[in-house]
Amino acid sequence: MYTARSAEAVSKNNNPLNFNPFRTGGIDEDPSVTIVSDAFEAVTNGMHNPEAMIRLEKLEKAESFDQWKLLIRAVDAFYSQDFQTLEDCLEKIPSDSLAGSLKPVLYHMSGQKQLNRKPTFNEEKLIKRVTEDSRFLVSAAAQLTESIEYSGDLFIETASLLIKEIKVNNPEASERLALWCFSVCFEYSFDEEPLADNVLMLYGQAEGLRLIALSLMEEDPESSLICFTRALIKRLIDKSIEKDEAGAWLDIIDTLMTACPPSNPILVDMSELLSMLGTELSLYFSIGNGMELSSSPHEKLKNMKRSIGFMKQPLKPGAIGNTAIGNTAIGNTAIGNTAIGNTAIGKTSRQKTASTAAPENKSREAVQLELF
Amino acid sequence: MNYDDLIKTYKNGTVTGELTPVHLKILSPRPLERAEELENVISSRFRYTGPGKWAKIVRDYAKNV
Repeated sequence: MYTARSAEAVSKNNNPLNFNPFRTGGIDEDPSVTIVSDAFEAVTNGMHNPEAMIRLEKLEKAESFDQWKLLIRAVDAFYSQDFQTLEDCLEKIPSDSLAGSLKPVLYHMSGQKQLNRKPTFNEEKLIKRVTEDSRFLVSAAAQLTESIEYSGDLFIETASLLIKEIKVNNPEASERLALWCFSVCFEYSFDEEPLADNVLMLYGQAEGLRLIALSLMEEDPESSLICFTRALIKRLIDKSIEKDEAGAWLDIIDTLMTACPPSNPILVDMSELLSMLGTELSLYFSIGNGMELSSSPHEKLKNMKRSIGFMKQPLKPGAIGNTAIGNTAIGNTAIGNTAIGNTAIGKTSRQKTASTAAPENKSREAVQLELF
Repeated sequence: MNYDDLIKTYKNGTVTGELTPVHLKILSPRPLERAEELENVISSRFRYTGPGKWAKIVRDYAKNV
């Protein structure tokens, strides 16, 4: 929605048509600006984001954003090679507006109207960066796909190199690639341990464990549960998490755990990890560690959520009883015995996890060293 | 919140059921679905020069307009 704050920002720029959502400092929290920026990024980063476009279309009474809405549609059309829509949108953007200053470049790049003058330095830079040759990447992706047919080792080696290469400039794309690679490992029964090791090395423990947890959610939810819990503990130790986010993490852990039948041995392992999680939560958020008094893992989690003020998402058990979660004994799945079991990721067997328990008489540092 | 919603949110990259954007952030990014998509995403990312880069390009460009 068009807000008073954005109106103020427009008036500061004198000419509403010259309002630039990307240059206006101090109004970053303005929902309208965020919507426009998100939509702009969505059409320019190659990641399809229909929600961002829907929010943009719903942006009402925002005349000062019109030029940007049209520009976003034009850029979207440019990449879709829908040159008629591109032209229609560009024609409606006033040439003397800021967004309009990009019209000649977009016309030129689309091949619709060549520049009848030498491009300026910035125009040339923009054209070069947008039309950068991507043949190497297309070829690398094809090689990766091809390597599946040869061997798991070759696939993981190729995948690891490509993930590393992409991560430099496109961290999110590299994460999506890593997740896809894990799914290929599951599908073709490749030993995913080297991939898991590389992911941990590339992204660090906290993020690496989260990615591994995501990749396991469907195939091996029990190991995923362990990885999510360990990733959260690591974030708390690294002091890189807010209360709301920690609450959502607990919610996810709780949901995965609710899927485990009470007799599942994973709950014993979890009980130990949850004690450690409770300690870290109480240290980080300076709250009482009342969860120590709870007996069941579910109660512990509920108390943790309550203690950090996150009880907005009551659990609805029952919808999960028939999933694969409860039917797989820990350690019996491929990942339990290989990547997760043998590396620092999951330690799903009881014996291994017992060593990570946080006995009362151990220092926090000693426990952390054992855990990570 | 249930397991099915968790999986749906992860796979589709959109909030499902009782999940919130905060949950979605933890469950992001969504995985690629097939090799073809992988190729498109990778090449697109480089073609588009990465997230946020366009905004930076426009910002730089606009300084000299």
